[in-house]
Amino acid sequence: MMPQVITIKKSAEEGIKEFCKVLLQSKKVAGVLALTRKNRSAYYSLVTDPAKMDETTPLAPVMPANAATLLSRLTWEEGPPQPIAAVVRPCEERAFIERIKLQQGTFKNLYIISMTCGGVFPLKLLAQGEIENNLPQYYASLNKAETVENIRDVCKGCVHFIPCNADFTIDMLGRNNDSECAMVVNTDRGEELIKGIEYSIEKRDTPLLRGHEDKKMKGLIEHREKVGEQFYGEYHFGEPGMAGLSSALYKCVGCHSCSRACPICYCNLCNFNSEQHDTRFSKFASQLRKSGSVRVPPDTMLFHIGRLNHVSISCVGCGMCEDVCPVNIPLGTLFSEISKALQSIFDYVSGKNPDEDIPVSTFEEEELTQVQ
Amino acid sequence: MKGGILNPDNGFEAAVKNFLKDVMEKADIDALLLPFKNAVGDSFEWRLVTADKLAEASVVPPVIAVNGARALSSITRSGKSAMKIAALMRPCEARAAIELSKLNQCDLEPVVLISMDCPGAMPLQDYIADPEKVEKEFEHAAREWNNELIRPICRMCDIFTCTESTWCDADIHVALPETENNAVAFISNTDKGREVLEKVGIGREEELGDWQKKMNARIEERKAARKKAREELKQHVTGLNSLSDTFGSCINCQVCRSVCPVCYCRQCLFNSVKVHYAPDDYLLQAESKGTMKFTPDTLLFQTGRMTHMSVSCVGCGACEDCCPMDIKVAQIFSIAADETQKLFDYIPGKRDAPPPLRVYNEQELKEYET
Repeated sequence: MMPQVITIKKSAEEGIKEFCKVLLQSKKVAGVLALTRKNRSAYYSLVTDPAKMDETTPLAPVMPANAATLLSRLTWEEGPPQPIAAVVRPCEERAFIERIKLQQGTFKNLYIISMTCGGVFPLKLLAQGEIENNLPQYYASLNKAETVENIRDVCKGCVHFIPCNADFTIDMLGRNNDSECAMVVNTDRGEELIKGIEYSIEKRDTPLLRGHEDKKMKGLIEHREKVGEQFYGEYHFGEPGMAGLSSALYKCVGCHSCSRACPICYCNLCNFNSEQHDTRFSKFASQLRKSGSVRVPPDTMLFHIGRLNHVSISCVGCGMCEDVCPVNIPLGTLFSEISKALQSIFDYVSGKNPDEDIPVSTFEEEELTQVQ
Repeated sequence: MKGGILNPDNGFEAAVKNFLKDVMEKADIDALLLPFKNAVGDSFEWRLVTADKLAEASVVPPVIAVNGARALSSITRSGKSAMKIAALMRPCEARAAIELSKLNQCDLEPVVLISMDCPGAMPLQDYIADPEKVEKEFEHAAREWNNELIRPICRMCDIFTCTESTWCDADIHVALPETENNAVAFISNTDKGREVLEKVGIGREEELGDWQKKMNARIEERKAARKKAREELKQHVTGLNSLSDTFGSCINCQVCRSVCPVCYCRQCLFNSVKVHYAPDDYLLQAESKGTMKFTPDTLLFQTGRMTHMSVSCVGCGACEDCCPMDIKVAQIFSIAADETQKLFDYIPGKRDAPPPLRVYNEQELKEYET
């Protein structure tokens, strides 16, 4: 199928809002999940009244929560009774696909609208009321398909900025979207959804969206790959073994915020908060006899390495963990780089293919023979 | 106020450490729980140590990276301690430890709890961003008792010492130098504390008049600051609308809960399936106004947590220190806590008084009966 392209004679943000309004008005969907940013606060809104779409800012470059977590709740367990559309970033969509694989959500009655993504600003910038000031340079860089200054470190090294499974994708990178925007209909179900809608959109059957093969996109991907590695090196995680890792994690206060903000960490009660991980007094005593000094509360490293074990096969590198960390541990860089390495062993890219099982949930007789 | 005075040769840190060394040797203490700068020097951590590690300890660290009560709880929560432990912490941490012991999350029986005069602490996130600068600022704040530099929650704290006009239920309180000869004084508040001071040969009958006078003046200052802060903060929390504005930027990360020494539940109610509804319910809810904030539970979480813990809130500020959205959560909770605590005539962190929600009183809260 040749992808359809919808052009809307409005800026990208207004265009998406218009599109969502039409979906609501024509009762194609019962609700729209989209971001709302007001001054220093940002949150997802569930909108049912088309007029209330005006209050939203679906493209605001901030991420107060990874939407995958919210979509999980919104589709729990059988999907919503009526269709819902959600405007989310590629890493949110990928995280949701991982959650579906983990039986924490479903695409049933859910339509995804996404965009080629320029990244998001750190939450600190939002808390300090600095988003507005940064918007002009954000869109200027976006138009040139360049990496925006001041965005999350993980975004600067992100190569998955083109959504793979969205039903609709707004073309943002390398394109001026001030007065007209283009939206690609990627899927059959997307095409089915907009069938019969009569409104001021122009449909074309030539793909406008720059794909992975596009020269500009390719260049950006190559650049981003280098940046990711560079960040990783800068934080000395490159140092093999525990030394590099522990030097970055000493200041951890054990709040486990990273796990709560992580879209992949879906457990209601984390293993590392459970009674199983309480340290018996006798263990403190024996360690004290051995070395004369015990860090309290214990098991900081165990938590992070354990969490790496649990999530890295599905980690999408969204950077929520790093953004909520009260002591600025570069967890996003750490987790995304290690995940990249792990996923490449299994020839797996988290959230890319909804039909592919998570490697740890499948059995293959002939794999990882090199570590036998 | 009376206590025992030590005249240190080389500063109060050394005097406190010498005292702790004596305590270990002469009062049968097996281990010390103290703050230390971590191995890479970018923050502080608690360590349970033997006497030989004492020299590296930071007696008064500039920040509270982890509330000492949480550290003490993690050691004593599971399994009877066969060791005796002396723990040195700030007054708010000691109060949290006492509160946790009442809630069966901390065993103080094997513990000699030692608190110290606290000039306040610096904001954790500022320290992480620039440790050197903030360390200097803290030195200044501690020396001059400069309230401008410390955390807002510390500026309005009036239980940071142990004079006759305030209170302290740690076994021993260390009064930091206020006299010209840099004397450090030790005050015992419990039988356990008196016994320890006796064993290490520190008297208890010396007059601490000068120190007390200065501290009392500071208490008055802080009380006034608290009163002023209460007036200012009240407008942010009166009525549902102002509450939802105040917590409008909350992203529901719940870090305030996970670092709170009093919020000890492994599985918070507000993080459980109990607050998850069917998709249909959310749509219906959204339809009533045409739109809704999703996740929907941020205000429920904040007010729910307040209901659960405010009677025990010691105002340590851990919540605010860690909030990624810079919400004044500690200040607001502390002010709200004043009201609930007053209602039950309860002071958290005071020994012997049981938490009010644990006791049944036929004749109470009459004014709420219909």
